[in-house]
Parts: sequence; structure tokens; C-alpha cells
Amino acid sequence: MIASLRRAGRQYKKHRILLLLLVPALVWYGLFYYAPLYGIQLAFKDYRIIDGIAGSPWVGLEHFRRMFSGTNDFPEILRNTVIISLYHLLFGFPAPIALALLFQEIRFKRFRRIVQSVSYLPHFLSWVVLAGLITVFLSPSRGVVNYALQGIGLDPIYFLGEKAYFRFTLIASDVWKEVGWGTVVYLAAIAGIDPHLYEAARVDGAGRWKMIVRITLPGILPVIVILFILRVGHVLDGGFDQVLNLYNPAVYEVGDIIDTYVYRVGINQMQYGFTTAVGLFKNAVGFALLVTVNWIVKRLGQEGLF
Amino acid sequence: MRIRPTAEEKWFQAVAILIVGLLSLSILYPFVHLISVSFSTPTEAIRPGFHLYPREISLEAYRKTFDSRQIWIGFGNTAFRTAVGTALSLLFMALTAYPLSKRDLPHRTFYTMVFLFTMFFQGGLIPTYLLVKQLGLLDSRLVFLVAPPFLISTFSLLIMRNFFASIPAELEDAARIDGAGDLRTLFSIVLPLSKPILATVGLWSAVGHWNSWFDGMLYIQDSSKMLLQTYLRRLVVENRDQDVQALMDQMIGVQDVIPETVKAAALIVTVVPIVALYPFLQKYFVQGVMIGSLKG
Amino acid sequence: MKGFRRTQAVAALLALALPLAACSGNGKEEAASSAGSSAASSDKPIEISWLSFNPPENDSTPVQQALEKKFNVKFKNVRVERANYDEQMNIKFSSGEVADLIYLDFSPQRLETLVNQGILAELPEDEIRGKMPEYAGTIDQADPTLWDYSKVNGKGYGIPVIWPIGDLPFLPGYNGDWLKKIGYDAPPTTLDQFEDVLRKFRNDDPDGNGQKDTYGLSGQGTDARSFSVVFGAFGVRPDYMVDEKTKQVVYGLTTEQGREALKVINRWYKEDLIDPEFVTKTANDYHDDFVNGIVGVRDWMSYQFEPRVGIVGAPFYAKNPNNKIVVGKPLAGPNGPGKAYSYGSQNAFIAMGKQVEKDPAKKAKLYEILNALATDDSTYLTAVYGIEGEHYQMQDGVPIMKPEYANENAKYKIGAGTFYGVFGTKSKLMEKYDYTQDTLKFIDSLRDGVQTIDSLAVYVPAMTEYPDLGKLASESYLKFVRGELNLDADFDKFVQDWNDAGGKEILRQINEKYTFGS
Repeated sequence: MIASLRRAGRQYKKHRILLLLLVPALVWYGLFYYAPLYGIQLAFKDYRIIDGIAGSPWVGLEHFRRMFSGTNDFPEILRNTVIISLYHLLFGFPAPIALALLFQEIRFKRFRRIVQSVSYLPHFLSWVVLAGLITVFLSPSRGVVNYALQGIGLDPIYFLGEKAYFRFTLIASDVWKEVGWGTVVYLAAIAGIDPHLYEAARVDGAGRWKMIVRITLPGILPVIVILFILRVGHVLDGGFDQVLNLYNPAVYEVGDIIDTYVYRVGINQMQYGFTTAVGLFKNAVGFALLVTVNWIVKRLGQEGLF
Repeated sequence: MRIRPTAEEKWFQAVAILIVGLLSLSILYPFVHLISVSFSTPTEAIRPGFHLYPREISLEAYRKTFDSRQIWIGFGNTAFRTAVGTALSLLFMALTAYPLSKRDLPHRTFYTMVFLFTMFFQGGLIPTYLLVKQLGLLDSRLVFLVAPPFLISTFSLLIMRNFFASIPAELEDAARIDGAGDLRTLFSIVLPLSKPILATVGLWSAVGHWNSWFDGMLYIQDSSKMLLQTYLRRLVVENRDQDVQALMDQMIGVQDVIPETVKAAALIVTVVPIVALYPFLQKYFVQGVMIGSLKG
Repeated sequence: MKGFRRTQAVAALLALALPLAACSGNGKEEAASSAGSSAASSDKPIEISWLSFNPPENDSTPVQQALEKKFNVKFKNVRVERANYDEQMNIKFSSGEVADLIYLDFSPQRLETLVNQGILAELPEDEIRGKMPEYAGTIDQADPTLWDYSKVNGKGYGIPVIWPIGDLPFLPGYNGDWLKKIGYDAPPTTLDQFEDVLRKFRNDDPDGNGQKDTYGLSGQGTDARSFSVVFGAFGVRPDYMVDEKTKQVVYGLTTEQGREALKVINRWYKEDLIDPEFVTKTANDYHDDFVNGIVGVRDWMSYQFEPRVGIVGAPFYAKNPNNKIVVGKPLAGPNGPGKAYSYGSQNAFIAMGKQVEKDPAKKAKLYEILNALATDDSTYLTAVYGIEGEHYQMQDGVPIMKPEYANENAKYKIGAGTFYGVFGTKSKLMEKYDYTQDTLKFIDSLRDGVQTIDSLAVYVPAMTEYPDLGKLASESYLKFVRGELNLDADFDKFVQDWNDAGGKEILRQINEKYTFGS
């Protein structure tokens, strides 16, 4: 016991400069994140402004009960959230990796610079603004997308008004909006790969495809893994802004997610207790999944988050 | 050394250009549409169909958007927080990420968890607001620089840590043998080798600062400290929620309806300055930067 | 900033050690101290914190200065964004920053929440009548039940703000050229004629472009205002309303007339007479489609067809100078004459922060200002339109903004508009300044012989207990219209489900709490 303490002490002494560097951040996190944490108790309280957070009466698990049984649709809403989120993970997550690899293949430097700059533009438009434009572009009667469909002999599709297409539309429009922005971190990772590796591979007669598989992908794998683990933590986020601005009663059955439900219920009311409870539920699940996935990743021999 | 491309390479080239080109075109159109609408007359703006260029040109929307000193005050404040805030963020995050990147740092996992935990568990808006108030940061520009989610983004911090960790240890060891301490190693070896990730994280931070409006709205009442977004949002935001719309519809009386042209112009004004930043950062994303800076 | 670092560091260390112990500051003291500060002598200006919509750009606008001088007060402007009003307002309230004057949307539910949270000062009806007698008279004239909405447990907490033209009917506006083209000299008066018009608008190429690309009618999703012309023909609106015979509150969508209206809409939908994209349209999209000659009928708040200032009228006449909007009347249905949907006169509440209760001088001052804003010509004109000669000119007794101030941005710049002018276009006594003679004539023509079904802004606790009932209603509504549910086979089950999911309890509580149309 004493020996191990002494060992730790020696370790701390040896790394004192590095540890000192951590102090400002620890103070900042303590002040701005850990000090306000007492707000979480609202999840178990009936918040009354005059009594303050500490003085409000406890209501136990009332808010959680209300979340699960305040609506007959909660199972459906939970299912929608998870499915939409998994689709995002399945299609939205790899898309920027693929695009970054494509960018690397383009050898006309000026063209590459331009398309890179263009591709990240839509990230800057909010869903409120984009929803208006998307509704017009996807209109079955006058939208450009359906002109294209009719051009190749297909019937127009009401992408936003039919259950069968709604989730696809959500995922596709999100990929379209964020794919270019998402490439930035992978481009940074690719920039860090030693060019000599490519030269050596080339001398060995490797083609582009082989170089991607043997050099580029392994080179950026650590970043992919970290981003993947962090993404898994958001499994109960289905993309609130996007869904709220694009959904409608015709697609509630497939598109209503936890956050939109909470929004509808909370509008006009001071529902801090309820929203805190839902947030706690979502994040506890997310955090648990993150820890699990991190563990699996480490078992697979990759470096995890911690 | 110039090698003639093989057939496979040509084929790859063609596919890459085709996919990327199509994507870019689909992305460009909405922007062309917005720019076109912003330069249109109100009647032209609501014309159905494609808007590639304005058929009736009007600069009225921009005149209305810029028709106030407040927009310049907002520009100033937003530019300030974007520049200073990003610089501070990079400094704080680099100083924090560096020790975390060291595998032999005692209790490394614990410290990582301390940071990671806050991504999932937070006290909420009310305690944070009260804290900011108690610290005397209400109505102070300092709040933009130090209040979360700025200064340190845990997400960026973890990404940065990983990049630092991937720098070959031999390079740092060489510096240490020359007598450099931890800080010198960080600033003279690690950071110069990390330009791509610094550019990435800096871009995230700058865009976050530039687009942020909620803190400007919540913490600031003094009009000389207001942000550009606070000013422009009142022109752009149209709530699509039908109930809220109904209420707004009933409010319309002495307030005019904001035309589509002004909304588009305000959007363009918001987006253009920050988008213009990216081309300057692109040079840091070119392969070989790391090696190049090593030799230099 | 002196000493900031040290306090910060100490606080941080404490926070690190004992995160959960750091729960302080519930804001009680704050409210008390801000109340105490204004107990000053009569010549020192009283400081008033003012929370309202569309705040002025800075704190030294000409309008603010003029009002401060006039009333010997100092305004502290509380800025909250319109699109995010509730969220930002609630955070400020939660941290003890309760404004002296609080402007609220007309939501009895929110009013009750705020009262239960102890945020609002009591404003008894008699007190309001005493301090603002003329204005109170206009409320009685418009709708005396508005006083009831402002009460929680029998006590009043808000001054009702009325919108004198809010009770104008929703009427169908027709594209004049199209009507003529299909051979109608006058707008249709019955549901059958209306159907004929829709069929011809769809099939007879009324815009003459040779393509079948026009519709007669669209909507804005399952918003209660969609298809109001059809529901009106059956004497209902698809949300809470008073039943003509029983005087009880019912939910229009679940009534027998509601079913009949849905049947008509469903039949038209099947025949492709209704724009199927109404599902994803917003109200503004529909306005644009009408202006652009894509849809031939717009059923909307009839004032908005006004050719110079209406949301629909102004762009329509700008775009089609030789065409005109023919405003029709409610359609007679199979059961007799139709009625029209209407927002009703209720518009907002003006409330005061709890701390004002303990500060009679401030309360008196607030009443003085509010009364002047609602009834005094020069105060009204200053608050709503600015300084005469500088920002507006009087023309035929109506203020006309100078061109450089005639846009939405300029009003924020000078402090005019709804922020201080909380009664802007909302006071019957000041109406003469808000509309030109032409507009007033237009308004008068709309009410003529039309019976309206007004919104009921009711609130009962069951609505909080069953908060998502609207989802069931709007989902089923759409399924009935699109034929995914059958109006003969499935409607009774829908009504049953709606009742079981809380609707029955909500209606029971409403009818217990409110009495209408006695």
C-alpha cells in the first residue's frame, strides 16, 4: 500500500510539468461542468422557481414514468430514434471517409481545392432554412429531383409525405449536408501519413486501390475508431433539428423521435424536470454504450478512447 | 519523378471526378438559388421554378440588411470572439491534450474520464446561467471566450490527443536529449508537426464561435456587445412550427413581414465570411506537411 | 475584474472537491432587491424592466427617450428573441430575473404555469377596470369572456390584449381571372358550387398554359386552419369549439359534422381536386402558390386579402396588377348555412412581475404608462410609429412612415413597433391610426353577415396530463383524408381512442371550468 503510494508519488514527481499543464483545464471543467452538475437532481424533482433547484420537492421517478407511459407511442418513438440513429451510423458515418478518399484520388489540384470548398458549404445552412429548400426540391409536382426521376421513366415520389421514403430522405439529406464538412478531420489524418509509404508501394507495383486499402485506411484507422466510439454515444439522438423541420403527421409513425416528442410535450410549459429526466436517460444509455464499445475496441487490439 | 498513370489510375480518376463533381453541383444549386433570390425583387423572389440568376435585379434586400449601425457592431463583436476565442481554444486544448497523449502519464485514464464524462452529463441551462451570473460574466464579452461549450471542446480535445499520440516518440526523444523540457518539446516539435489537426480543430472552433447565437442572446443585454447572429437571426428565422406560426401570424400588425429576399441576403451575409476562411486553411491538409516541417 | 481570478480559482477548487454541494443561488434575493431599488421619491425616475417582443436595437432610441421623459421613468430593456421567447424567458425567470412588465402570448396554460411558479403579480379585474377604464370598456365590447382567461383560481393576473380585427372570419379568396374563365361572375355560395369550381380549376386549365398543373384548394398540413372553408360549411372547426345546441365544448374533429367534412375532403382528395402536397406545405407556401397562380383558392384570415397591406393581398396585386382577389362568403353545406373559422379577439396578456406587488409606486406608474399606450393619442403614436416629422408624417389623419423608416429593421432602430407599443394595432380606440379609410372600408365588408366560430384558448390541467393528444388527432386526420382509414368503418374507433387517450377527461374539465354562450 505504502509502496504503491510511493510509486505514484514518484510518478507524479517525474511528470510534474505535464500534470501541471492539466491543471487549468481541470479547474475550468470543475467550474463550468462539475459545479453546475447539481442541476441533474431536477430529473427527480418538481421544479419550482420560487424554491430554487435545491428547495424544490422531490418527485422520485415521476418524470421517468411520464416519459415511458405519458404516451401510448413511447415504444414506437424509441424504436424510431434507434433505427434512424443506426441508419445515420451505417450510412452517414462512412460517407465522409469515402469522400475524403475520393478527394485524395483527384490529381487536378485546382479542381480538388474547389470541390473541397464547395462540398462543405451546406454545413453552414441551418435545418430551418434547408427544410424550406428541400421541401421545394423534393416536391413531387415541381421539384427538381422528381423531374430527374421522371426523366428516367419513374413515377414521382412524395419523399417527405410517404412513410416508405421518409427515413431514406432524412439520411440522404443529412449525408448531403454534412459529408463535406465531415471530411476535414480525415483529410488532416491523411495529411499526416508519410508519403514515402506511397512511393515504396508504387515501386512495388501497387495500384491505387491497394494503396488505399494498405496505406491510407490503416493510416487513418485510429481517427475512425475514436470518432466511431464517440458517435455511438449519441445513439438516442436522431437529429432533432432536422426531424423537427422535416417531419409531418403523415410520417409520425416512422419519424417521430424522443426529442421531437419532448419538444411537443414541453412547448408552452416549464418542463425542466421532465426534459432533464429525458436528457439523463438518453445520456446514461449513450455513455453506457460508449464504454461498452470502447471495451470491445480494445479487445480487438485497437487503441480506444481511454 | 513523374510516372505515367496506369489504366487503373485513370479509371479511378474518372470515377472520383464524376462522383465529386455531381455532389458539388447538387450542393452549389441551393447557394446559387439563395444568392439569386437575395438580389431579386420581392415578386421575382417567390416565382416558382429555378432561380439561377435574378430576372429582376434589386439591391434592396442588402440595403435593408445593412441599414443599421448594429450590423457593424455585431460584425466587430463576432469577429473578436472568433479570432480571440479560437486562439485561446487552441492554446488551452493543446496544453491539455499534450499530457493526455502521454501513455505513461499517471492516472491517464482517470483524467480522460473526467473530461469525457462532461460530454454526457451536464447540469443544464439554469445552473450554468446562475454560475455565469455569479462570476459577474453577464454582459461581458469575456463570457464568449470562457463559457462552455467554448474554450475547451472535449470532442476536439480527444481528437487532438490522438494526433499527438501518433507522432513518433523518437522525434520527441531526440529533442529531450538536446535538453528540451516538456513545454519546449510541445511547442518546437509536437505543434509544428500537428498543423493539419490544429487547422481542423481551429476551424471547428472558429465556425462554432461564428455561428453561435444562443449565448449572445442569453448572456448579453448591452447592445454594444451584441453578436452578428443575434442581429441577423431576427431577419432569417422563420419558425416552421405551425402553432408558433399561428401565434406570430396573430402578432402581425405594426410589424412588417420580412420578405424572402431579405432572409436570403441576411443568410448570405452570415455564411460568406466564415466560408471564405476555408481556402486559407487548405494548404495544411496537403500530404507531406509533417515530413516537410521536419526537414525545415 | 479585480479579484476575479482568485474567486474563480477558489470556487473551482471547491467545486472540484464537492460538486454536489455547490447548489446555491435560487434567485430569491435577486427579485427582492430589484424591487426595493425603485422606491424612490417622485422626481427621481422609476426604473422599469420591460420584457416584450421585438426589442429595440440599443438603449438610447428616440422612442425610448421620448417615453422616458414623458413618464419620468428609466426603461431597462429585457431582450428576448421572438422565435425563442419561451425558452429564454424561462431561464431568466428561473434565475430570479423577473421583469416588471411582461408581455405574453395569449396562452392561459403558460399564464397558469407562471402564476403557479409565483412569478406574476396579481392584477385584479377591478383594479384594471379602475386604472384603465376606457380600455376595459373595449374589452367588454369585444368579448367579456376574455377576463376569465386571465384568471387563475379566480384571481386575475394579466391585462387581456385584444386584437380588434382578430375576430374577422377566414374566408375563401378566389383568383378573379380564373373564376371568370370558368364562367362564374360571382363566387360560389354552396359546397356543391365550390366543388364545381375546384373541378374546373383543376381540369379546365384556368391559367391557360395548356398543362394540367393547377389546383383549386390546398392546405398547411393538419393545422387547424387547413380546409377551414370545408369544415365551416358543416359548422365546425377541427379543434375545441362550442357546440351550437348544447353550449358545451366539443372537439370539432370528433363530431358527426367533423366526419361529414372529412368525407368531403377525402372524396375531393381521391378525385385529385386537392393539392396532395398540402401535407408538407406551410401557410406561407400556400400564400405563395395562390399569388403565383398555382392554386386558385386561398381560405385564410380575410384581412390578409387587403390589396395594400395584406400578407396575401399585397404580393398578389403586385404580381398580378390586372387580376383581383374575389373574397367569397362561407359556403352553405347540406345542413344549412355555413360558418367561418376565426382566431377570435384574444391576442395577448400583459402581466407584471411578482415584485411589483410590493411596490405600489411602480405599479401605479406601470398602469399610467399602459393606459396612455392604449388610449392617449400622442403616447400611442410615439410608441408605435416614432416621432412625428422625424419618422412619420400625418396624412389624412393616419401616420405614414417615412421611406427610410418603412422597413422592419428601421423600426427596431428607432424603438418603435411592438416593444413599447404593446397595444400597437391592438386598441380599438387607436384603430383610426392603424388603418387608412380604404382599409377600414375593406375590413367592414368582411364581417357582413358572417357567423364565426372563434378559437377557444382554454386550459385545464388534463391538457398537461395528456400532453400529446394532438398527435393522435392529426395523424388520424391525415389518414382519413388520404383514405388510409375509412370514415365509415374506422371513425368511431378513432373517436373512442381519442376519448380514451385523455380527450374525454379534457372536455369534462373544460365544461366544468368554463361556460360559453349563455
